[in-house]
Amino acid sequence: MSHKVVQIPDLGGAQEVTLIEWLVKPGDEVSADTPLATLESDKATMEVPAPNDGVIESLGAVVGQKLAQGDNLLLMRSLEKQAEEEVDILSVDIPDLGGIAQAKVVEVLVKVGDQVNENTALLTLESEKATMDVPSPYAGKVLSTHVVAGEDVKMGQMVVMIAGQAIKVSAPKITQDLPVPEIPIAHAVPTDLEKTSPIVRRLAYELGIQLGDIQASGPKGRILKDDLIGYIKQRMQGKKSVNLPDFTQFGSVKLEELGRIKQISGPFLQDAWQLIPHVTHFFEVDFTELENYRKANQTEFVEQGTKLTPVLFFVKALIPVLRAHPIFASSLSEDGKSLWMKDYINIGIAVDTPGGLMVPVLKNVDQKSFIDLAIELSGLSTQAREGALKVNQMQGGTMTISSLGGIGGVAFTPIINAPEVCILGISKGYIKPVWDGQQFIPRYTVPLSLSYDHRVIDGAEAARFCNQLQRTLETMHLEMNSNHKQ
Amino acid sequence: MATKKQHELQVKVAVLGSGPGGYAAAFRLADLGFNVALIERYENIGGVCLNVGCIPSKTLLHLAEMCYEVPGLKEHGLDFGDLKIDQSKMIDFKAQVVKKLTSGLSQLASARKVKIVHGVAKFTSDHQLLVENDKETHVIGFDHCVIAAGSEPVKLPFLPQDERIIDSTGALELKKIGGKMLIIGGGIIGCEMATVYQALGTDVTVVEMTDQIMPGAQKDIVRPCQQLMQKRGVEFMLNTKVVAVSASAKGLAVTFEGGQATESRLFDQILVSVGRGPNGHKLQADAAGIKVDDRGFIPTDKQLRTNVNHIFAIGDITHGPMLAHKATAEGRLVAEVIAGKRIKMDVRCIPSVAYTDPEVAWVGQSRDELKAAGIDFKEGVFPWIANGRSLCLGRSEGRTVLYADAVTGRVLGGAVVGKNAGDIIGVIGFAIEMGADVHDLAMTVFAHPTLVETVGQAAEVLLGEPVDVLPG
Repeated sequence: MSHKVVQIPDLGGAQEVTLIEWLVKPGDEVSADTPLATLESDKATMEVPAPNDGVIESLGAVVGQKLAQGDNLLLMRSLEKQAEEEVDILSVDIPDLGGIAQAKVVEVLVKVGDQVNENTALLTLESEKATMDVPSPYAGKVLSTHVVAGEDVKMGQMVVMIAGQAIKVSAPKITQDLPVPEIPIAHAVPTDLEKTSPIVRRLAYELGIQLGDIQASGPKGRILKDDLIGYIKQRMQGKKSVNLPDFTQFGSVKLEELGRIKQISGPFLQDAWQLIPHVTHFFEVDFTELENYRKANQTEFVEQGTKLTPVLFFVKALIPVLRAHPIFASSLSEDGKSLWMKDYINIGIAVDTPGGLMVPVLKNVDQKSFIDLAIELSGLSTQAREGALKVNQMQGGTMTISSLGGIGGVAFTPIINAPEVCILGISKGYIKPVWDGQQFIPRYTVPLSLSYDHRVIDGAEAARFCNQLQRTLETMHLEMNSNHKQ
Repeated sequence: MATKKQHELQVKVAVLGSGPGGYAAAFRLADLGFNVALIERYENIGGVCLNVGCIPSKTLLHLAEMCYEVPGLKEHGLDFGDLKIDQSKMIDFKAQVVKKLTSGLSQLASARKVKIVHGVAKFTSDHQLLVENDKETHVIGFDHCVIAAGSEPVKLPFLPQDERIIDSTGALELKKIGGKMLIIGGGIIGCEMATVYQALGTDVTVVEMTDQIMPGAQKDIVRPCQQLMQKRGVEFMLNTKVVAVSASAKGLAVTFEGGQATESRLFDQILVSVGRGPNGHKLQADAAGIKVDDRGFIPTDKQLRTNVNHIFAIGDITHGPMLAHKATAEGRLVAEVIAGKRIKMDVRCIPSVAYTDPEVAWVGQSRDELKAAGIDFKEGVFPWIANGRSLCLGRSEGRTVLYADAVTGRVLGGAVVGKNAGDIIGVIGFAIEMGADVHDLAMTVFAHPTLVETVGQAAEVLLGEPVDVLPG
């Protein structure tokens, strides 16, 4: 009985083909010219026929794999007397792992077609306790590999097939003619040639970092300890920049400095966006009555030197809703195990200023009248636009409102102003035809988005919060009108 | 037979063998907070290196060197008179040096509360050793074990039992000097002992199977050493092997095969230095399930772990060069692995040194290895005849050689022959370990006049910009 390795035939000019489909499986009996697999090049698809009668032993590639002429495709046991290439097929199994149930494949050190000797390392395994290499028990050619990096393996699991000599190459025995050399020569060619000092290599290994991933800053590409530390910091913070192409190759460009506020707020937004699992709940509110009220009463506010803006209704409406759902006014403790519950209700208002986005905070809104809030908000907005806000005027928020209603948009997903746990986004109102049972009536409708911290708030809680906020806003004019009349 | 007193001991780590690997492991483990037993079959700790290897041989080699150096001063105006050799004082000096080091080790061990157990150890299970000496037995239970049980000189089975046939351990006792001595095996130990015995007035012949002495070293680096040894009277028989020895009152008749000599020759003593074999088969390792290969080596992974998860092997008994400094590095590493650090043996080179006169040292990849690996490399050779310090010492035979990648300039290997070559090679090893370029060596300012300066000078030659010799 002999074995034959079926290789990728002459591809007729194509450099590379993709294995599209296996037409046989191990154990199948095939006769000469039975199609074994379908290959596809950029020009055509083709089938690889069996060279002779035989039984399929093992497949040497996976569907989707790119192959070139001469690559091993599969191994078959020939039923012909005369085979071109006689080999013994030897499987290499995971050896006893020394009491460990399973280990992870860190690296497959050989690839199909590699010539290996006895003791050539085939795989590197890593368990909780150690890393170890799996040496080849045979000399020969690697026929197939059956594991990939990252996979968990157990003792006895077949990992590699080798075509070679069945007789194990045994170490030379000590004889009088062949004394053990005094100094075994062990100057193996180093495999990792990254330019680093021993301590950098050790630290990198300890931390499981591939030296090749580190950007070297030393002379002539030397990886310095600082490079490793920088890499670790970057990984801990998350990568903060993307690699840029040279834009000048596409046309004229100019590098302009980012505004100061954006430079400062950028990292905070990045952290909030990465550290907080955001969910955004979209809903709408019928704002028709409040809009009517606002228009009707604007003069009164103007007389006071201020303006009745829609956002004020939201500030007021949030008070009972937050009281009813106090976790929306909380902050998560650093260890993630408790909540800081806040009795105060301070609402931050995102203000678009020429210098950038600022968030002044309206303090203790539950203790202030509508007109007072209007006056305070215009004051804060003016200060923000003039860049005159003090630090304490931007601190202590319970939650934040970000309104793009005056500008436009259907909906958006605001980023939570950490350490708060939710933020309300207001989009541009529109007239919505609402069926009242008999006809469509035009209603002035404002779309809203509530982003919340899902570690603190569940989806159902958020939905209830939004429902209550909606009801509060839609019934608010009744209360205001009655107050107004008094 | 009277029953021996039996002791029981439970330790975190049992270290088997107190050589440079074993004691380094034991001491580091103790410093890392482990309760350690260090097991040694001989009276003194320190292993082969301290007791019958590196240290006593280097003491004798120093004295041997003086035998040539001091009389050589006569022509430079210093005449110390005729050489008188007092072997017993030489042995005393050697013993003092050994004692100073081993007693220092014992003190360090006791200060660290490392429990030293004397006796021959055998595994009885994968968590227990039985250690036996003349008076007592110890049953030592352990959580982890480090096997550092070393190697022994290989014996040639066809040699007769005769006290005139000695190994390196016997050679260090200097029982007989003078007469004719045959050294079988021209490796480092053979050449070192040839240097000692020839200096003390013995006619030394070295017979070596291969075509060069110090196999593993580059031939051109060995040549100046071989030439000086020959000038001093050592005879070398290369490509030759000993096929029979017969002992008689007249001496030891040796029959050779191959090479130059075929006739039988008579010697007064024979030193066998054909290499060392690991002690892996002497530990009853199968009782612990430890895999030992046919030759007696215990295979390990890069964390020096054997196939048994909590048992490690370091030094001569595992694969790699049988060198004290390799064992020490492994001993330190294994202690930290046992302490839970995720680290591995990750050295790029281990230097080899023959402490002959002149010394021969090499590190990293040799010219032959680079050629075999198909690496495009450049070579820089600096002859010491152009080095001032060497001439001040009355010596000119030295050479310093560097190999570097032809494209990147990265230092890949080096070799030195000359006085203190073993010290100088450290600089090249450091360069390889740091991933330095040959430019780094050329741009390092070495003190003048020194011998280590030749490393910088060889780098300059390699780069084609030397000052002290003409550019090639």
